[in-house]
Amino acid sequence: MNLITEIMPSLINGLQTTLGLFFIIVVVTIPFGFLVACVRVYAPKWITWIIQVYIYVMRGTPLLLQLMVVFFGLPLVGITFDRFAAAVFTFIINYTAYYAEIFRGGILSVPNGQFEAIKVLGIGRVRGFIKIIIPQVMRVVLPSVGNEVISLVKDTSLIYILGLGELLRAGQIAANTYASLVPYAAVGIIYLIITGLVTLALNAIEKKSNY
Amino acid sequence: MGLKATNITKQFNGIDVIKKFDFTIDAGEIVTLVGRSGTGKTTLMRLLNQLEKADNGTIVIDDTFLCKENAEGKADYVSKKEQKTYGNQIGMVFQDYQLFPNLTVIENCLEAPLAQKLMTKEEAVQKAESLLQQMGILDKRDVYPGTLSGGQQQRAAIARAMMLNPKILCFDEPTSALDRDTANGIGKMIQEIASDGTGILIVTHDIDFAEQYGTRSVSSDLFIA
Repeated sequence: MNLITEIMPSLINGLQTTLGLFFIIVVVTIPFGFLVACVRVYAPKWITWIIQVYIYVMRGTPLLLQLMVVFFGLPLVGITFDRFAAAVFTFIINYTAYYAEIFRGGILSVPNGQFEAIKVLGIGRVRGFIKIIIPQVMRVVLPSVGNEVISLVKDTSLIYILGLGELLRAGQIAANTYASLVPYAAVGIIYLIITGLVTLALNAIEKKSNY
Repeated sequence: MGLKATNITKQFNGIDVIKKFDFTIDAGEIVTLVGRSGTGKTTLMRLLNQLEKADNGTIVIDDTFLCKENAEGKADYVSKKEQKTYGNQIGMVFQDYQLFPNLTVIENCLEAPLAQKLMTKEEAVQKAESLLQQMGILDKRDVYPGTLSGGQQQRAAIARAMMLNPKILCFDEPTSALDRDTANGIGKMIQEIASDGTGILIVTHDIDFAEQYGTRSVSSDLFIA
């Protein structure tokens, strides 16, 4: 018990970095992903081709490698980020790609007849898209979006490679310092609590979007 | 008065689906469009409802044009604004209804007139309720379409299309997913709508239904004469 009270401040410190990154990425990448998906579905072919290449690279290479390229590689060509900014930037471009694919699937799942009904009734494309199409897309994509959000909680641990003191790194240092497995167990429990809360929130949102 | 389409031609990939075809729907008549699959029945309905563009010909409802044949015989479409005016003169009930699943039945009805600012909300609600009453589904006004039976969805779709007071109302295969009794109920409903002066176009495979409820029948075999 003593050990836990001793390591708690450093774990909480790490947790702040983890949660900070998590919230920024969730808030930014979900709308970005939706925008990229819309562009991919509706834009001219040459633009969709560029987006396809971007998504292929982001999904086809490890996030860890992308973090290393951004933080260690880009300075070689004169682009320098501080550690946290590098993490934020990399997670944004990576997760946006995943969300874009999820939302693309959601948009394509809406029957063409819905778009035609909007047209025949003279509802207007923008209003129809916002009021009628997006709610249907959301309903379809929510489970997959939830999966990604939970993956993100765990993926934030990868930023240890940039020397950032996030939760897992804090636990690892504590484990080494005290030669004990307790910090790892504590870290595991904290991750479980976060993913548990996220799952509850996602379930509530899913329930609300049911019709 | 009613809908008049003259000299209509529509090609897909260079192949004529409809060629120099003349077609009318008068006020209050129920025209049934029958024929084999793939002969262009739905295509004609889609042309009239602006879901496809005619290559040649003229389409007009009363004095409101959708397109006019120019000197080379091509269909010249009117401005977007005029197309919208035309669009409100014609309504369509889709084969699979295409009600908006995330909106309740009454919200489905209100969406078009409110989006186009054609009525106040109170007026629209009043009209929607009276149409739902006419369709016999007023008790379903606040439920989502997913909970309705096929016949009820069909009626909700008719009410939604009637919200804009169309002069012409089109039905794509209205009985394809309905049992005979429900289909007869829809047939009577269609007759009632026509008796108020609305011209009706029904695309159907159901010859019995066409004979029973249509006042005039057109065969799609005439599309390519």
